[in-house]
Amino acid sequence: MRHLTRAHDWAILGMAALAAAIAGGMVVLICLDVLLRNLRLSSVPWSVEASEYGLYAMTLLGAPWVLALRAHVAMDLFANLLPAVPRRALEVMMLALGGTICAVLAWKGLDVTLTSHARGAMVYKTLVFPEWWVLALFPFAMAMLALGFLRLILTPAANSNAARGH
Amino acid sequence: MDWISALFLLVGLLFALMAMGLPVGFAFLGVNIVGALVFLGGEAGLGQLVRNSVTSLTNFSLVPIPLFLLMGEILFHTGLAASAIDATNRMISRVPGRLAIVTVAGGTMFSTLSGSSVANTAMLGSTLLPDMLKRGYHPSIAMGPIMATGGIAMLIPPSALAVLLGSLAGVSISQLLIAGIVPGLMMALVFLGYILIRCKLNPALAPETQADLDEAARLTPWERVRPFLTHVVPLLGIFVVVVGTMLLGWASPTEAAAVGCAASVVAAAAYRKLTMAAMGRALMETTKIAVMILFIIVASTTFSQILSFSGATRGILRLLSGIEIEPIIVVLLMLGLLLILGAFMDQISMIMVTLPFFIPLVGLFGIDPLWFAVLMLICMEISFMTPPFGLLIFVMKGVAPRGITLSQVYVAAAPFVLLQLAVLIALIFWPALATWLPTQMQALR
Repeated sequence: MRHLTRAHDWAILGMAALAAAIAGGMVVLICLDVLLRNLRLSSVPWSVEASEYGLYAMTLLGAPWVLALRAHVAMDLFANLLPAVPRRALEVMMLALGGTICAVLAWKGLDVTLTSHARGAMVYKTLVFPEWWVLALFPFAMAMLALGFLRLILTPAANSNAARGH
Repeated sequence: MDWISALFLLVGLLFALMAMGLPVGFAFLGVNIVGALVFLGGEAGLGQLVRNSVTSLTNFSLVPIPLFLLMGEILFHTGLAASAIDATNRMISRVPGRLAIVTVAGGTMFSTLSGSSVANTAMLGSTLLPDMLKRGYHPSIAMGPIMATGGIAMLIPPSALAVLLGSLAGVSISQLLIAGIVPGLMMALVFLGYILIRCKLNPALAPETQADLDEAARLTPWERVRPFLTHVVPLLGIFVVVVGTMLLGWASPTEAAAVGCAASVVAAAAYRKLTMAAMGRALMETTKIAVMILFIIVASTTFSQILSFSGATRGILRLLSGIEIEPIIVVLLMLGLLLILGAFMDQISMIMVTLPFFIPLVGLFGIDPLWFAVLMLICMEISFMTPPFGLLIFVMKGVAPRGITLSQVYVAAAPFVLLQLAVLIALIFWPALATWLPTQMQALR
């Protein structure tokens, strides 16, 4: 069990680090495009599209880490008015609900991704590639988030290594 | 299902889930699942929900959000922001409430370099608050200016929230960013005036220590001005690059934001403060705040589509279009609703819940969308500081020393909320305060 939780922690941190690298990469790419265009040397025509996918990817890759830090925006004001026991009960209920929502979306996301793959659907913009490449990130991130909610139910203090890492 | 029941189901369920403590992004996703099943044709609707989530973020106009955040984080984590505040501190002397004045001046300056109110408040709180409390400043005159000036970051460009609002409301992002400059500076001036008058009338609120007076006497004018010239003026070059390129139409907001990040890195390297560790921290912190904002967008984009599909949006518009009502009353009602929602909700949820209704209303009543977007931004700035759910109040409490209570923070925020309301009223009655500069910008091009 400990190996599993550690692997989950590392996976979450790795995904967050990748999200941060994507943010840095977007800066480099857009600056390169601006520089080359203004020097009339060349341009990076796919920089706009790559940045759009980068924004989407960094959000989904970073979301499980932000959940482990318990930093997703929440209004816990009313819950905090409750005594400790009902408060924890409400918290567990909400965590279970969050996990269920993510599990449903992971399942449907996988279904949409597999359907797209089976149909051979392609994205035709500046970049041309199979659509399922983009879609696949959604069920993966949702599954990681569902696992994250489960961890928060099992370890109330949320003292995972991923949360402690930063 | 009639539109009133649909509205109550969707909005009521959303508010209930949020109030019970489910993070707002997941609350939106939960309501979307119910809405997709009921209004978008069952399981097929769920598939649509997945696809919408993907397309909600593959949007170039949202790219400045993480980049504007990164600019501020680079300057914060490399220590350039703290040096700039220190230099401002040295230059300002012998004024009533000196450190509170430094807070507003330094914070407004950092607002021109950072897109995040949270980062601004945290930076000012951690650098200036301990000093002020140690000197015996009253908590209200120590914390109020920090929170109020922190909020200015969302008005003065670069502003992550202005990018989001402009993109979702279909208002020109460059124009909205430029339109925030005058109201942002007005806020700073009003805060400065208030601090000066209050501390002049009651010097005990912000006592000047003998050491401060000795220091002021010891330093020559050049010694006071030099750090400002070496540590603040060059940083303002970054603001000029970002806003100047947008103003002249040379760069899109996204390109300006990326160039601003590169300029921040160059500045940190020039001051020999660029380290891998600082850059790592800046990137991770940017990721955290950007994900907090963008995840709500992923989750809530479909919400407005479902509202529209359920007939709720059309129903409300039909109801309002049948009533004889002046546009200004509609504006006041919308702003009032925002201020009420803002007491309980975060800024992004406020945008996502109200925009599906506000955009058509603005069109229906012939209201200037740019002006209204600026008013919305000010309402959101005010709601950063209104109890019970004012985000900056909690940020302030988080960085304040032990012993400072939440009610002290509320009391400190109160006069500044009133000052912000005064600026809001001024903008309602003199729209040119917001629209004049963007009009000049168009004339320049």
